Amino acid sequence: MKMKWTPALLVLLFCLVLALPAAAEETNYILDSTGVLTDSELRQLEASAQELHAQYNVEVLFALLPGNDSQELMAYSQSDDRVGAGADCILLVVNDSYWNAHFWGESVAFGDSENERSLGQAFNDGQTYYDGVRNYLLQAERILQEHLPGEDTGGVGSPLLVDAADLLPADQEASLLSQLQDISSRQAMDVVVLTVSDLSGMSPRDYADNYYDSHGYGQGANLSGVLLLHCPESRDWWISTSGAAITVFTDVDLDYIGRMVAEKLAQGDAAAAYELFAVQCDRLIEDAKQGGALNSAKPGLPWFWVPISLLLGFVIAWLIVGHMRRKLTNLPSCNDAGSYIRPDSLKMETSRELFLYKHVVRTRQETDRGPRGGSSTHRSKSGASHGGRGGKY
Amino acid sequence: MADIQEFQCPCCGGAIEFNSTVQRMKCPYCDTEFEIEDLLAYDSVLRSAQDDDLNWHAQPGSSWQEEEEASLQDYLCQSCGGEIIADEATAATSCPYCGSPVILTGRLSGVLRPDCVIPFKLDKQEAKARLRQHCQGKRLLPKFFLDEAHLEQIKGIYVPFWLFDADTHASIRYRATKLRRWSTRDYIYSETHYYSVLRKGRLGFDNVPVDGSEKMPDALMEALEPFDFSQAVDFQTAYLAGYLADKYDIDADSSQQRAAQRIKQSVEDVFYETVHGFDTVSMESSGVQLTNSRAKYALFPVWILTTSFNGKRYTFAMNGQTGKFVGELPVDRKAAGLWTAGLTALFGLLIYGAAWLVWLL
Repeated sequence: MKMKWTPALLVLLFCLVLALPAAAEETNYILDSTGVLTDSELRQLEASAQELHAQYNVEVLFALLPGNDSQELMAYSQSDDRVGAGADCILLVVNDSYWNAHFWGESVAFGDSENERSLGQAFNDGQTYYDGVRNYLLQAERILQEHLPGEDTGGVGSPLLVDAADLLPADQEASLLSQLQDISSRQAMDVVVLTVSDLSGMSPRDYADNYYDSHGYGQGANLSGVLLLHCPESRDWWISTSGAAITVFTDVDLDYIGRMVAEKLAQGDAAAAYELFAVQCDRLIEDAKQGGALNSAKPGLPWFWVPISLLLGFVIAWLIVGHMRRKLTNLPSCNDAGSYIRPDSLKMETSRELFLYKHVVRTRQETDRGPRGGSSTHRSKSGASHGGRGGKY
Repeated sequence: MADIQEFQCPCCGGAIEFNSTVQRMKCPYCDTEFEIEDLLAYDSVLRSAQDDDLNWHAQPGSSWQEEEEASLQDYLCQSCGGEIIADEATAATSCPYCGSPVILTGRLSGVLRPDCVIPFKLDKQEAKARLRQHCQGKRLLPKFFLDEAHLEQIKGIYVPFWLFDADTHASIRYRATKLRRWSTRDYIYSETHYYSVLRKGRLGFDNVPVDGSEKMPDALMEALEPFDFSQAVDFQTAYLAGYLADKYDIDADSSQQRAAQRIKQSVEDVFYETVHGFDTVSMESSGVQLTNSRAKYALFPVWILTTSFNGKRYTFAMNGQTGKFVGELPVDRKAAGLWTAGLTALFGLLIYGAAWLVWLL
């Protein structure tokens, strides 16, 4: 019996040893030596920092030290083993009285004193430590956005495929993303697919429009693009258009694409639905380009409007002067003797109505085909104009 | 052997035959079917149609008394040939038709005495004031028109009219239809019922006026109507004082054509109004006969202003009893041209601006 205990204990110890670094792995970005941040706060901040790392390939690090020794603060960066070794990172070190910001690697390019100050300021603006760290992360993101626009993103820093509801496996995600990137760059219009697990009480239309506006999607001055929102929990889909896409995708077109997408979603094949969406958008934009709907250049009014407006002006002037002339002549004609009828002298002797015959004519009816409609638009919360259609599946 | 009665098809005019398959009368040319009673009734209606008889058989007017003849002067205008009558007190200075001075020729002769006259209700001041008001806001009128000197030339003249009374007896036939439409999923049906409508009746007319002066354009005089005959009085030469009177050139017989025309038109209009309840009505034949016809010779008051402008003569008249204005006023072409150019520029600019706005949106 004693023999079996020992190996089990060894294994347990071994696992613990292994687990420790794993735990340490989790708290990679935010270091809290004083313990003011709760576990959940820590986890949220870590997740945000991780996202930043994923997006910009720069580690945004934070360290909270006890005490108020400025020397210790300055020297900290040497001892922190997260930095150095060629890594690109931004570090903010804070204690009770002082803060210090550093830039390493690639980020040195924009690591000027103004940016350092803005990071420290952002942290100080926070009411609590948690708020302060969050502000710091947001400010760091802003700086990174400004200096490192991503290649695989639409607009400034937002990917064309956001699978928050986690419906697609990684390999399908990658292939769909590259397809969307290809279409977006070719057509000069962002084609975005967004899945969310819950709409936070907003309508699909508002959620899609606001997501589009707040994440800076859209190319060109009009922020042209089209976004497909899918929420599997409420079984909602919505396609939101913006800028030139409003005219390219008429309500009829959106209904058509939406129907096809909804069919695939109802069958449970999300990947096929998104691919279909991307392909149809590509086709429609291509068609519109051929038809000249995306003609952005607006030259001046063509020259022939000058003689046309003169002609129309002349016609109106002629009519008015003609009316003035007619006022000068007053010759009512009098071809009857109606005023001279002796009152009450009308006596009808015979009044007969005789039926003769009847005719019936029958013609075939034509069925009517409706005309192609336009696009309806509405304004989102941020004030931008969007077209769109959606439904349940 | 009895006469064979042949019926004409009311639809296409061909000869109708009895069709034994449908047991009705059927036209072999247009395939329309008829009931025999309908055809018989229609036939009797056709036979009863009457022709027009629009002849007058009356002699209007009477002869002048001697003392009346003595007090009246006859004027002749050398330039236009117009003849006018005025009492000896009136100093007629210019011809009301062409504006040139008139020459006294002599006593009245060969002219009938009028039966009645409508005296002038509006005097010269009134006439000028009304004319000025009428010309307000007429921007294309030449400036001189409203000058005092020009307006002063307005003349009050009694225009000779022949007044015709008649009783009429008319028989008018109409072709009318009633339409019914309905549709099923594949077809639209329209059913038309054809009717023959007959109206026979009597209508009386009093004092239908026709102007007896050749110099006064008929259209102008007719436009001045209506004159209120209830204010007419028996003729006295006293009424002529201060005014001119036109001599008649067209006698009653020649004028009656016009009166008959107008009466016939009125009868047709009145009878047409009595046909109700059909979708379309068109007149097929009409026969109007005049009976008890009488004619009168009357003088009606008219204010006349003749204007010469750019070589054309414009006659403008006002009803001396009711104040109604008729006629042509001269058009200042230069003013018209300027107005056209100005408005063209204005509207041209407006339209161009609007086009720009729409383009930019």
